[in-house]
Formats: sequence, C-alpha cells, structure tokens
Amino acid sequence: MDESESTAPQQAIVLTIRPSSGSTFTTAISTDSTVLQLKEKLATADLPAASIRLVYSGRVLKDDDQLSVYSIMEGHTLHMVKSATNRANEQAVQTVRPNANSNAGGPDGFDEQAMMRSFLENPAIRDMMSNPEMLRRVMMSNPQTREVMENNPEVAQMLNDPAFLRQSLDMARNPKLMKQALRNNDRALSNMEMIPGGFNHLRRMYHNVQEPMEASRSAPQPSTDDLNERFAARLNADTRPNAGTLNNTALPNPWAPPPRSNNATGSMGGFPGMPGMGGNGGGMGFNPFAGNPFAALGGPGAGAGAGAAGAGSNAASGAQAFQNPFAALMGGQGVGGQGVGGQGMGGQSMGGGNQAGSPFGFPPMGNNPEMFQQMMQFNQMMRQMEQQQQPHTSQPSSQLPPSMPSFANMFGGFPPVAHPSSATTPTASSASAAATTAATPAVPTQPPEERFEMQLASLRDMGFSDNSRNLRALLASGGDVESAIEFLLRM
Amino acid sequence: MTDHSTLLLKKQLKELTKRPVEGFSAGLVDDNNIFEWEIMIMGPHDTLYEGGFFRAIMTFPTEYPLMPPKMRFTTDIYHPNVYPNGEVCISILHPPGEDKYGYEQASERWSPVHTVETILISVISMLSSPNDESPANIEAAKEWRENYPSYKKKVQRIARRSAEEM
Repeated sequence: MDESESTAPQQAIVLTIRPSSGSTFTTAISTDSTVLQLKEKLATADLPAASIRLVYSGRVLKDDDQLSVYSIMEGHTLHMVKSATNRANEQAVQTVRPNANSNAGGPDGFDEQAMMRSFLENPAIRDMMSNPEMLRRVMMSNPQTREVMENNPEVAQMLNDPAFLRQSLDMARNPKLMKQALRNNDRALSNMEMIPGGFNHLRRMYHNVQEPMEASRSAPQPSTDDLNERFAARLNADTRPNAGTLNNTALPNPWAPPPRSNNATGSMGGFPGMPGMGGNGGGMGFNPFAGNPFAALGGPGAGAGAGAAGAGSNAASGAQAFQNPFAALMGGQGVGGQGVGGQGMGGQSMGGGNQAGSPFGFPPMGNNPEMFQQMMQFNQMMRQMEQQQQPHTSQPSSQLPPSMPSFANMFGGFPPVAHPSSATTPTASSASAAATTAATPAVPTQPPEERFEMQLASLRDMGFSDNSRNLRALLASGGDVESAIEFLLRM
Repeated sequence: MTDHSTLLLKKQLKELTKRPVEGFSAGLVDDNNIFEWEIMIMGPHDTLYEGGFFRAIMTFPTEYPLMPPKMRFTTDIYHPNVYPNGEVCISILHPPGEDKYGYEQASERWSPVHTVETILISVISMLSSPNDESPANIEAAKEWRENYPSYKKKVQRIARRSAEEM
C-alpha cells in the first residue's frame, strides 16, 4: 500500500480488464487519471462510458475518483460490468433494431416470433406490460375494442383481468410454452370437433366470441369471389363443384399438407365450415382469444408485425391482418397474434405436466377438475366411437394423409383417431352441402390396457391399485408414468 | 496461528486482485485488517439477480482456516438462504463437528480447504439455485416455492435497486 504512494504520480500502469462476458484484455493508463477517464478509454460503440461499471477490490469505482485512491497497481484486474441503470437509454436503440430485422427476417414465422420476443423482453415494454391498468387503457382507447367489450361481457371480463393479461404476455415471451400451447390448442380443437355435438359447440363459440372480435379486427368484408377463392385455396380445395349438380368428388382435406408454405401450427386456422375466419395462422382457429386484442400491443414494424398478428407466416392473410385496426394501437406495430393467442391453452397445465389445457383456451377451465373430468369422459367416448369406426376403415380416403399426428392425443394418451371431416368447406358449400360424406381413415389401435400394459404394471408395483384410475391417469399423461403418478396424486 | 491465517488470507487476496474470478470482486474493508473483507458480487448472468451488485462483508475468525468465515450481505437481498439481516446460510460456512442443523453431512460443512474463492462460488451458485431445505428466510423460501412469479418480481426489483444504489 505504501508502495503506491511512493510511486510517481505520472506513472502509467497496465491494468487487466475483465468484462462480464468475453475475454480479458489489458489497457495502460496513468494512476492519476480518474475513473471516468479510464471508462472513456474502455468505451466502445456498443458500450458507452456512461454505462460501464468498474469493480475493484469489492468496490464500485466512482467516476470522479483517481485510480490511485483505490490503490490500483500494475497488473491488477478490474471487473468491467455493463450497468443496468442505463437500460432506459438503450431501449430507444432496441426498439429500432427489431424493425431492421423484420425487413430481413422475412418469410419464416419463427423470425417474427423471435422478433416479438425480443420486443417483449425490452425492459420498458415489460414495465408497461406489467402494468395492467396501462394496458387496459391502451386497449380501451380504441373505439373498436371498446365496442367489442361492450357487446361481449365475456370478452370484457377477460380483458379486465390483469392476471390474464400478464399471463398472456409471459406466454408470448416463452417460445417453448407458446409452441406447446399452440399445438395443444390444435389438438384440442380438432378433438372437440369430433365429439358428438362438439362441432356445434365450437360453432357456437365461434359465433359468440370469436366472430365479434374478428369483425372488429378487420373492416367488414363482403364475401367476394376473390376472397372465397383465397380461402378455398387455403383449404386445398382446387376444384369447384358445378352449381346445381350433386358434388360427388371427395371433399378437400383442409389438413392435408398444403401446396403453399403454411406453417404447421396454422392447421386449425382453416377450419372447415367457418368461412371468413381471417388470420389463418398460429393455429388459432377457434380460440376466442385469437382475434386477439393484444395482437397489436406494440412490436416491430407494421409490416412484419401485423403479418404475424393475423397470419403466422401466411402471406395471403397478411393482407388481411393489415386491416387490423388494433394493429395501429401502438405505433402501428403488431405483436404476433400467434403468441398471445395460444395463451388460453398453455396457461395452465394439468396434473402431471400434462398440458391438457382447455380446448377453448379459457384459463379457468384448466383449473377446474370437473371440467377436466368431463373432458376425460369425452375422451372415453371418443375411444368407443373410434372402435366402432374401425370396420369402416376401408372407406376411400386418398386425400387424407395416413397419419395426423397433430390431432392425436388431445389428452396426451389417446391413439390417433379417425377424423370425420364432415363439414363443408366455405367455397364448396352450396353444392356440396348435400354431399357431406366423410372420409374417415381410422388407424387400428390396441385398447389402452394393452398399450399401457407395462406402465400399468409399474404403477401397480408402486402401490396404485385402482386399475381404472391408473389407466385414466396414463391416458391423460400419454403413457408417461411419472406424470401419471402426479396426476393420480392430485386426483 | 494468527500468523498463519494472516499469511493465507494475504495470499488469497493477492491472488484475487491479480486474477479475479468471474462474478465477484474482493478487497479489504480496511487495509490494516486482513480479517474483514469487502465483497462485491455481480449478479450472475441468466439468473434473477442479473444486473445487480451485491455488497457483502466477509469476516474471518482468527482460527481461520480451521473455522469458517461469516458472510453478510450489506445490500438488501431477498433469497431463501439469506437471513433477513443479510447473513448467508450455506452449509459450507457452518463450522465442522457441530451438527446443529441435524442433517448436514460433515462433507458438506466447513473444511479448511475452502478459500474465499470457493466460498464465493458457492454463494453465487446459491443465488441461482436456492436450497429450500434449510431456509434462512422463511418468507422468501415460501414465496419461492409457492408463488414463484411474485418471488421473481421481488428479486428482480431488488437487483435493479442494488444497481441504482451504486
């Protein structure tokens, strides 16, 4: 220590700088320079002097002090840390950056998701989002949203729930959760549709919840030939039945791999029988949250942003998404509807890590054991149905892909099921209404008792003696013993 | 004995000044007292504490290295294994031989091979993965276990505040 005082004031020393990320480097500086001078020396374009923190010997160095105050000597190492307090300044830079990305980030939807994520990660946005009051005000400031909310108390309720808003945004930040939720949503909806009466239920939901939201989202669109054609194309309907004659060609399969780039999660978007459903992306088919008011809470670049909101990566519906009045809520930027739309599903996971979620995306459902039990009954019903259908497997089904993995397993465990696509497609509707033949490929399956024989045995070994409950748990968990145990314990 | 501990601590201090370990910086509170160290822990990346600067005082007993030092955060910190007064509760800082918590194995407790560096590395890893078996701050442990989002928010706020206070 005495040594430092005895050294000449002008003496230059070599210091090692250890940044919080990256490798260390050295710099030479005289001991009588101030900390601020050292910082200026270290500053780069990315890291201005103002946001550098230097830590030495357990202390943060103060700008005005000379280095000699801290008795820093030749060869010593300083920690260089990026300061967190200056985030507010960085945010301006950050909000511009995604814009640039969006131009390059192009056709694939994941870029958009990443972009949206980075936007949501932005501390300022996060602060704002975590303030439900603010969020609400933003939404309420839009006359169309207000109208929807006034006409639909359920929707208003949803938007008024701060917990829901927060969850949605958390969800949008987590790409894995989001993807999972979207997938579950797809499955759940497709399964619902096959349950007797389920289709009608979905239709009701659509009319009550989604339609008003969609309607407010896009300017009223008359059903034009052009539009119909576009939807038909999206549903793989390439032939047009002749008016007045019976349409006896097989109906198009909306789930077949589309000729154009339609990303996997978009599958539910083009649900048959639901013409004009708009934003064919993100698997948001019937998710009442799909017409998603948050779709526009900010986000980079109106172009890509709005595209994400409506359409995932589907350029065709991008055009429609542009008309989204919500997209203008915050500087004309959209936060992919995909993200938030999926929320309803993934928000709650059922016992055993089994994201059974709710087909309608209503968060409370996931928490409601009764509801879940009902689902399980549906589930069983469907299995029966499917077994009855097995004799009919010979029905021609050339248009349907042999397996539809994304529709299997609504609750994780049940086998790929036959898919009665008995609905009419929007364009083919008039003539084909009579010909609602269902092409139903049923995949032969073993009964669950056989499929889960081993798992059942191990559950029995573990002391779960009730076979039917075990079976139920296994079905719910998709055969995963650990999740099944968790499920059993919660039941 | 005191000479031995002084020498050992001086050696460690010199080493840490020249070649510091990522995540913390160590120095003396008072240059004339080698038994009291000032520690600055920089919130580790990818944890809730990221961006925070946590100051702590480490006090060494004269019996060091036979007995462990004590470490106390002087910055506010909210963590299941840190007492509300800032004292850090990790098994390697518990004196050997006496098993007052009843479940720790001798190998988990203090041993003379530990240095300031190994202690601080343990503390840093404790920050990112709390051990809720022996919570020092019961409220924090409960919140961590039962209401993680709220715990997360609180910790992040504290980390932010700690950076602003610098």
